[in-house]
Amino acid sequence: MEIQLKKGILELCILSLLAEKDYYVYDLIKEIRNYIDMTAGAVYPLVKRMEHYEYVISYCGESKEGPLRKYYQLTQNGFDRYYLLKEEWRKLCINIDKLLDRNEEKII
Amino acid sequence: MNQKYEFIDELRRELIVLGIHNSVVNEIVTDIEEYFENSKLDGKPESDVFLTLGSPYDLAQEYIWLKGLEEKRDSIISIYASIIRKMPKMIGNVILNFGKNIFLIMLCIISVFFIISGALCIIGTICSFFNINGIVFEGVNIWGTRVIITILGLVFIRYGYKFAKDILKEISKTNKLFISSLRKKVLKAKY
Repeated sequence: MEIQLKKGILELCILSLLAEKDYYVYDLIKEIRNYIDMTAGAVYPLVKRMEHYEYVISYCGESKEGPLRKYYQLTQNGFDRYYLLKEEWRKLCINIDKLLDRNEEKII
Repeated sequence: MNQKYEFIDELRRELIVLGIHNSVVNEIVTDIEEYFENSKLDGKPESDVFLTLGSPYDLAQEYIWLKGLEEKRDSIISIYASIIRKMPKMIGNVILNFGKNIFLIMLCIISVFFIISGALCIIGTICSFFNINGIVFEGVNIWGTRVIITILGLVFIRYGYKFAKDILKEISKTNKLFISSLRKKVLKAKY
C-alpha cells in the first residue's frame, strides 16, 4: 500500500487498538501488522506525538517476560479524537466509494 | 550486535543535530532499544529490525516536530499551576452561567404569572354565574364576554405551562453542559 495513505490512517488504527486495552508499543506494532503492513519506524514517532497531544499517557508496567515496559493508555482526549476520526473515516470511505463507482461507470 | 549500537548511536546523533532536548532524545532512544530487545525475545533476526525501522536519518526526521520542546513535567505543582492559570476563564464562565440562570428563572416566573392570570380569568367567569361575597359581575354578565375570557384563560394556561416547561428544560440543559465542560477542563489540566 502507498506509504502516505498508510501513515494517514495509522493514527486511527492506534487509537482504535488503545480504545480496547492498554498496549506497549511493540505489541501495538504486532497487532497493527495483522491489518496493515506498517514499519516500526512510523509507529514510534506517532505514538510519541500522540502523547505530546495528550491523546495517550504512558505508565510503566510489568510484563510476562520480565522487563518493565512502557504501556500506553487512552485519555479522555484520546477517546474524543478516536470517535472524531472514526466518524470522518466512515464518511470518507462512503464518499470515495461513490466517487470511484461514478468513475467506473463512465469508463465502462 | 555491533550494528545495533551503531544504529542507536547514529540515531542519537541525528536527533541532537535536529536540536531536540537531551531528555527527550534519551526517551526516544530507550523506546527504540526496547524495540530491539523485544524483537530479540521474539526471535526475529536483527536484519528484519533494521528493515522495519528504516535508516537512522529517516527515523530522526520523523521526530523533527519535537525540536526545541522542553520535557513535559507532570508534577503536582504543574497540575495545580495549570488549573490556576485557567482559573480566570473558569470564574468568568461561572459568572456567565449564573447570569444566564437568573435570566431564565425570571422568564420562568413570568410564565408562571401567565398561568395564574389564565386561572384567574376562568375563576372570574365561573364566579360571574354566582353572586359571591356580594360582588356583582356586571361586566361579564354577558355570554359572549364569558366565552372570550374563558378561551383567553385557557390559552394563557396552555402556553404559560409550555413556556415554563421549556425554560426548566433549558435551565437543566445549560447547567449540565456547564458542569461537564468544567469537569473536562479540570481533567485536561490534570493530563
